Amino acid sequence: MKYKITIKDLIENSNGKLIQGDENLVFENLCKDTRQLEPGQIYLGFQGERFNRQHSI
Amino acid sequence: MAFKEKDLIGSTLYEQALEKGAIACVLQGITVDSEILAKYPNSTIVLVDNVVKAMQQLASYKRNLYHIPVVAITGSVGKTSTKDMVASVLSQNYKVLKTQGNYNNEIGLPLTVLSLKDEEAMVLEMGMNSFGEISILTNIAKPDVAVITNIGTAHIGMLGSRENILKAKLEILEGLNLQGTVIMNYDNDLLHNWYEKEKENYHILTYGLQQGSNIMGRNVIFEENGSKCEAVINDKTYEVSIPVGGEHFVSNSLCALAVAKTLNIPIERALKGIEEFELTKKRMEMKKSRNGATIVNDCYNANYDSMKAALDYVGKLPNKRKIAVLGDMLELGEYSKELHQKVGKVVVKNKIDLLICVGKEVTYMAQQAIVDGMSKENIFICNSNEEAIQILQQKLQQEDIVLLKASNSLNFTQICDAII
Repeated sequence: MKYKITIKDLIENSNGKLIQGDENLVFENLCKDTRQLEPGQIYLGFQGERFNRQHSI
Repeated sequence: MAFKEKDLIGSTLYEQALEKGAIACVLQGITVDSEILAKYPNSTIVLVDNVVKAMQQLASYKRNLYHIPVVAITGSVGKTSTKDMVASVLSQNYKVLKTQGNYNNEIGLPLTVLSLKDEEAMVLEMGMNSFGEISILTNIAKPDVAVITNIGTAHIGMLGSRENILKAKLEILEGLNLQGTVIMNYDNDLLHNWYEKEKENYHILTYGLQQGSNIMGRNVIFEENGSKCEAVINDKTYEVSIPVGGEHFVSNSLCALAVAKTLNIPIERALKGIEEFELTKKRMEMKKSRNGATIVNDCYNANYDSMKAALDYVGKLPNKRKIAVLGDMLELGEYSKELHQKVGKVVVKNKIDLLICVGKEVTYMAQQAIVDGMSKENIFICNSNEEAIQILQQKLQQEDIVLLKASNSLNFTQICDAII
């Protein structure tokens, strides 16, 4: 079965705050790198993804 | 999590993201500029305390909505190829979502779960650097089947001992469903011992070539383009035909049979999944390293002609500095020395700046490169992939191009995964 996760689910599960926009927006098509972002995607502003980290084992 | 200050930039780039057409941004730790909000009135902006945690919480929520089988795989080496083989076998019964690329960490795993659509099963790889990481991942994934492929010595420095690596990998059990099954490699000494101690406490299936494995491989025949073996399961013997060379794929196949058995996929069908297994990565795959260097990943076969083709290709590219990481070309018999020397010539002809060799036969390659005029200082001979990774981590610069090429059984994918 396919469930649609929305911005509302994000806010409820992470104690987030809607600054502006639509909480019914479906939370899919995610992108974490502005260099690869395509129109229509949702941008995730990860703070400090480990560019310098060692490879996970 | 020890992030370096200079890396803490993701959320500050939201204007750039909106400019490029992002319809929504999930951000942390910033004050959003009201002018930018006004400039993009149709955008959705959410602030959370921590984006990584938020994705983990949301992934966990989503996971609990789905009543589908989830297989989690960890181990020191062979996670990726095991995951691919297990997914291939499960594909016989289900539409499968599996971990892509290096999405095996605290960010990649939640994003994988969040990408779940109408798939009917998930195969998730779990990597780690220290205690507590697998624990987070398994509590999101809530696996029905937890696989540990082996306990090696990779990055032992971080955890102090192999016993500690085992302990960290065993965190995978924390999220395992109560009726879940543990699948482990009986050929690995530490896993074997753990099994003997814990077999009453968990539902465990073992696989391996050792006598006593629940899924036991025997009579392995290595052929040029694959292997054949017998698998003994509950006193029945099955013929296994594995279309990819290398000993670790025999092990992966036995593991996949164990997963199939656990999920009640008929063994005959699972065997078909193994036969139909295809390495998902194509030849000459282009990737970017973490620091922006270009990687030409061609890790799945190596003979003189394909080595020459790849080196000629890289030689023609405009990158400032060219690095070739080359491994042994196997199964060349009496021609081995001569063909490795010939590759050495091609390396110099294509003006490769750094040559990193991994293996034994590659010594001939290095020697010939020196004879043809390459400086000794620019040639490194490594005994293991780990050594090559260390050198790359020290030397790799943004404008470099790196060619990775070796026979499949040298598992150069490990090198690729370490630098992307």
